[in-house]
Amino acid sequence: MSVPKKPVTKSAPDGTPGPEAARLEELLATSPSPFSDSVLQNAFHETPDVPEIHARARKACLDHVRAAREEGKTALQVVTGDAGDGKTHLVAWLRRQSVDGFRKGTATGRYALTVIPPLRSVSRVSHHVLQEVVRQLSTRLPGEVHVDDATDTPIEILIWRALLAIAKTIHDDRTSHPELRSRLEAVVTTNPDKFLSSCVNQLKEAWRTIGGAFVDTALKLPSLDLDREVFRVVARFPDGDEPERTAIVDWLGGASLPSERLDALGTALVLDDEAGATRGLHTLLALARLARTPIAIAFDQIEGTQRLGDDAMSAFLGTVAELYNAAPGTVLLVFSQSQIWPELKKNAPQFVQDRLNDSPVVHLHGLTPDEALALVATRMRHFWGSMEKGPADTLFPLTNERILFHVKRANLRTPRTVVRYFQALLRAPAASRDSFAGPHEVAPKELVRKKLAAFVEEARTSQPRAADARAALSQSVVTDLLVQAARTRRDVAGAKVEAVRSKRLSKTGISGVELVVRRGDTSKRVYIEGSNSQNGKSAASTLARFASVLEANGADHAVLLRDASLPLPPAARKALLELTPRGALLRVEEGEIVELSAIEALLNAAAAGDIGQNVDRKTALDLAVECGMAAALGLEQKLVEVVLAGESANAKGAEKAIAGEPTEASADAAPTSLDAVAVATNGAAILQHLRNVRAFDPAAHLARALGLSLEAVDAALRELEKKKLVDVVSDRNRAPVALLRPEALSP
Amino acid sequence: MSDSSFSVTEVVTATRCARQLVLARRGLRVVPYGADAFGTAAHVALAAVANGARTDAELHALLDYPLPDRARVIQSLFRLALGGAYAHAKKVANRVDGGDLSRFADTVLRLATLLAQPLTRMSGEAKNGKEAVESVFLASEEDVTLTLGEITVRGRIDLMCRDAAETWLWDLKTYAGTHDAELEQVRVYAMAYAAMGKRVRPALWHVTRDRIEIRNADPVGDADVAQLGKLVTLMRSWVGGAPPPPAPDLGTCRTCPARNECWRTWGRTLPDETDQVRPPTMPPPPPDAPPGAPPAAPPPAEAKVPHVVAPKVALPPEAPTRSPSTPKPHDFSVEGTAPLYLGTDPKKQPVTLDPMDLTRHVAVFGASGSGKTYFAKSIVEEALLAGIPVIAFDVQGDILPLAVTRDDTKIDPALEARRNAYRDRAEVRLLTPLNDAGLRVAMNPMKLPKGDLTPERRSICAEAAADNLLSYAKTAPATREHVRMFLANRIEAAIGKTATLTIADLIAGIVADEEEDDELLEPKVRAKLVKDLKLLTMGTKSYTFREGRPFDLDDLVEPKTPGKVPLNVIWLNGLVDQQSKESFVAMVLADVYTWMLGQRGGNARVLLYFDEIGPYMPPNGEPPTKKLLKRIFKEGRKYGVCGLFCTQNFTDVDYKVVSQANTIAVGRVNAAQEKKKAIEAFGAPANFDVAAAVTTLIGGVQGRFLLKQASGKVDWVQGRTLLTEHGPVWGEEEIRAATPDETRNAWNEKK
Repeated sequence: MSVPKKPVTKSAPDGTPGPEAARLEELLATSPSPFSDSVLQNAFHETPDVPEIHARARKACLDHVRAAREEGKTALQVVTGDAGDGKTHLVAWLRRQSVDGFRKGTATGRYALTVIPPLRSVSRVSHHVLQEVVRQLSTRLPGEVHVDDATDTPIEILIWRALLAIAKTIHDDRTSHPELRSRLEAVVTTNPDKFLSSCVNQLKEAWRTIGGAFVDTALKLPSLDLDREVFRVVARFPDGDEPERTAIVDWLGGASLPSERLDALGTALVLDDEAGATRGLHTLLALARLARTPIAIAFDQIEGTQRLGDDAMSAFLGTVAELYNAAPGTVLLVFSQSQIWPELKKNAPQFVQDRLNDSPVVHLHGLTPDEALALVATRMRHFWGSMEKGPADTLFPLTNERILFHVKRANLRTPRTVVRYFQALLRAPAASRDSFAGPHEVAPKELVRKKLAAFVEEARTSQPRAADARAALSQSVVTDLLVQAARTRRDVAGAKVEAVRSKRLSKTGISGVELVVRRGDTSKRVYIEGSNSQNGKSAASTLARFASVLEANGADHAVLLRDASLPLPPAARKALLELTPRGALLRVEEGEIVELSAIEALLNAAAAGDIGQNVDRKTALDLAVECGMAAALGLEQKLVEVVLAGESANAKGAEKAIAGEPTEASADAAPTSLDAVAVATNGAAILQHLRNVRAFDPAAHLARALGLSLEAVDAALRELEKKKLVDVVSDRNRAPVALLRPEALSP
Repeated sequence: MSDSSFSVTEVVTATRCARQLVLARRGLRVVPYGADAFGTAAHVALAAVANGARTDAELHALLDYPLPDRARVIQSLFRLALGGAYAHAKKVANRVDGGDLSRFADTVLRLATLLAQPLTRMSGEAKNGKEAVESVFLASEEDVTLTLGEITVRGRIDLMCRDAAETWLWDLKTYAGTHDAELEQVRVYAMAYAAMGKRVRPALWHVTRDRIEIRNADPVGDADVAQLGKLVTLMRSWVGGAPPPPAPDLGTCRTCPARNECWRTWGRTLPDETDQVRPPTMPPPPPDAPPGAPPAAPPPAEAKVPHVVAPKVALPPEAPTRSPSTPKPHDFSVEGTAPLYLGTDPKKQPVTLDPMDLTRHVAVFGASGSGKTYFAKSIVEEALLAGIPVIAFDVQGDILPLAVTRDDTKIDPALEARRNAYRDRAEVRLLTPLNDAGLRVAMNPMKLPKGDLTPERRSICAEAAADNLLSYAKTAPATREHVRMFLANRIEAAIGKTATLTIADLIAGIVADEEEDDELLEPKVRAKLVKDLKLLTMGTKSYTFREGRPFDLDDLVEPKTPGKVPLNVIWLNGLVDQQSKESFVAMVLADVYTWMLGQRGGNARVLLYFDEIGPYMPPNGEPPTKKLLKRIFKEGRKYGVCGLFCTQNFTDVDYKVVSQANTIAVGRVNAAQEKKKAIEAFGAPANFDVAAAVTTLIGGVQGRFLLKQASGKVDWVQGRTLLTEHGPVWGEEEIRAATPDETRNAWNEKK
């Protein structure tokens, strides 16, 4: 194959680059490559799009969305492709269409897209889907889409639209009370597609007098068929301002809220178990249908779920099939690697296979040379287009012929190989590009190190996860690390991990982790569970599981993993203290969560073939451990230390962990009492701190500053809140923060 | 808003990043939630104070007294501010971290502290409290319009305020570090007032959780308006569709919430994890240069990145591109007197500094974001590796992270050995006056020098101690110099006779001599002085002198563990206000000076590191710190006392002190007038075109410095990666976490 000629404008007759070409080459070399992001970390990152690539798959997905909105049809579409074929890019493109649909009128219309990462627990599939859907729909849309001052998230827009649609139905129904119909007149005569903000304000205004009647009437309408209890909570939306609406959205997303927050929402129901999560998910999807804003749920990197075993994959596909059956007007998109999809499908129950057969699988085909050319041309045009003094020919320093020459010679068939190849090509000296032999392979450890760094940055800057998701993440990744320690015989705090297995308690279906560690002659069996539940009953039932495991001699110790910023509800605190010396609490710090999150992302990427051909999940984990993720490995060590420190020390440790104090075995301190006198004393100290040191302070800061336990601070804050001296608000991680009320500044 | 009208916020946004301007116009949020998100709320709080103070009877009652209780005035102002702050905090709580809310509360308290100063000063002059308030707070939240050719810039001033016989136009910023464009902004406000016949002095207030900085702007000239005019013209072109250049400081991109949209529209500004971006090429030496001549200065910014229009003072400079990894610093030993490794030159060769050059002092200049603190911290690390103890003054909380080495995922492999050596050798002490978070230190304002001193030096030490006392004890200006000399005489008399002199001793001595005539002070003034001095032995001020382990330089330069090298970082933010900080620094410097006089010549014995030294060594005025710094820098070489200081501009500091620095590094500057100063400082070395090189400093690359060594050699240096963390500023919590309890207990035991 002969090398095509270079463009005549680029170099002098003797082959040396002319000044203009040299200037452009310098720009190219000193700027981030036009061919960056050969692997998209997730669908929230985007690269320049080439519409003609995978046009059939795009059309199939959007056709489903259109049919869902216009005809209420449900779709289950499987999309397969090899690693690097562009599955995540396709999801990112669909997400962009969704965002644009909210911001402006697009041909596809308005729909919401959520991307569900691989499961963390086999026993909580619906809850996982619910909390991810709600979390992603709670991300603020870019640009100006405000319904009112504080509403710019898809979920709020969706709920408002659903309520307006119900208002229209009630208004149009002649059996509705005439007074109610009359009061809804002003609400329904305005077109929400054009004047959503105005409609919302009118509904809010009318709500003061018609709210109760509205909800009662809506629940009687057979056409709506809504879950009564869930809808009653969601229908409080027009009543509250932003914090109340946030609480409703959190609750709908399966958060186990404290009982006082539940009281404020007028419910005792918590959607944090599988049954509750299913109710929440179905209600949300029903509201989306009413709002004519279908939700597309994309399951990306599903290979990552395989680590939990065949049961998990089967449960996952079963949940997808159930959603297909029970949630009309929903689009379900499953993205999988071509070679493993047949195997995954084969293990699914028959009813699931039937559902999966309803729509033929869409396969992402390899690129044609012309598509590869379009991809390169788009990237180059995008690069030079952002420069004020770019070249007239935006392919510089390439030409159509040279691009096709490289594509054909290197047989570049996937977008990833094209992007990687041309990134390396343009980083090579201009003179040696004709003889370019392809990109160098990066050493796997180096690759993992860089990927981890990128994932850590992503974890630090992205929308925070729900509290329950953080607990599941902690449990899941700590388990991964312990399994790796057992497999490689790695020392953890001077001990060997002998066994790690999932322990599913038959009564509840909740699964924890059973760990066996040995140091010298001492061997311990430990039951571990992560829980960030802020609801007293939910947290107490976690501790009840601990008690039953210990009573049945299923473990020597039980350890609860919990965010350092979230206090234990009083009932759970009491239950844990009763379990000492065999029960213990291990607080997980924010920095540890960030690293655990990065490790999870790395493992999911490795499972999907996104790290490198030779880097599978196990290799990636081994290399991550070698890279020394100090915080994550430190958490693993703390866990082993807690259980091997000895029973008496452990008792103190557990108590002091609850007391928010260091857990060194040598330290000696009694747990903080939480009787009424102590609460009042602590309250006075907190009030003094807020008045004299810092008027706003998170509970965890207060605990450290005043030498109290987080739970003691929490109890005192609740009392101060009752006296209207402080407000306790939740921050973005839903951790409590005390705000001194202005009127309480002076004693 | 149309293409011919911009808000002042947009001007500042465009200065930070032209792309952010365009994205913000599309309705995207460009400021991350977090501490920065509270700018609006802080302005609301400021307005609440300025407006509420006019009618607040409680505040008026406090200010009815000529010497009002300052703490209560602060509390009163904080009460007024809290209303607005509380409402905003509640509104945004679920979008931010709890820590951000507490930082915001700190900022509001600092704001109240700052506003209390002019009010308490005015209370002595005004008839009553109400008049004092009205005399100080002249206007707030007033709209201002500026017309620049066809383009209008609209803004709203924060506060017009009268203080110290001047009318100030104060613009509030809730973040640290001044960009010159912001100074331009407030200066143009001033010009708009001048057109209305009001003469005002513009200044920026930087009020953050842990500090207050006031940056005065220069008077406005026609050239400044022209520059702003050029910027807004460019802004119009960017908004109209011309490709906007990326942010000059890529740190902006790391936290920008609109990054995804930005990269989707104009391409990446940061490389991905597999990309190998090359730093801009330095051109080869000119053909007629002698063999071995250094390379020519880099080309002007506009030639390097053509899509960026030639930057002027208020324009965003070029986007920095960083080398993905630091070249291996050859085989430097990290022991003893090995050279200090600063970074690499344009040929990728290591740039080093002889440890003894430190005794001839180092000055680092550069605009906010130029990387000067980062560069200076690398020198501190190297000094420690060379065995030189360090005393660092931390004004902002960004020097403290020298206590924590980077982990393996962040350190350049080529620097791992150095990092490990640093970790092994550095004996870190975080000293916290008036605060128990770290190692609490107390100062004796009248610490007496040891050993035989010449009469002149004895007088210097005595006067420094008198200055220290007077910085706390208020005296009438008319008698101040007399009081100062009176105290100095008494302190000088005690030198050599007693080892320690306390305030109580001093008072007792003055009282005992009550009946005797004194040529300097009348009995009435002496009685008043005694009363003032007694105030220092009670209340919160007295804690500065008595709570904590006494400051002892001998102790601080000696390692507790043999083989280690002490790094002492003095955190100044635990002190209430700028005056307290200056007084404390003056006491430390007086101690350093007296200690220094007791040393014999030879090696570098201690490195004094001062970041943002400007307020302590201003070109005008004579704070006690300035006198002492001048003496230390002038005489320090003989005694092995090394100085390292940083500041943004040459004009921020006294030129006499600058002239004492033989090693000078200048990074990116944003003001054209800095060019001239830089050329003067670098002189005319052979084979290096300083004038051409200095031109490129305007809008230069972050982390790259023009370096003049003590030998006179001038070249570019790209600073090396730090061995320690360099991230968010530290506060109490971080200090507490980094100070083990056993270290703190051991420290306190030796009180």
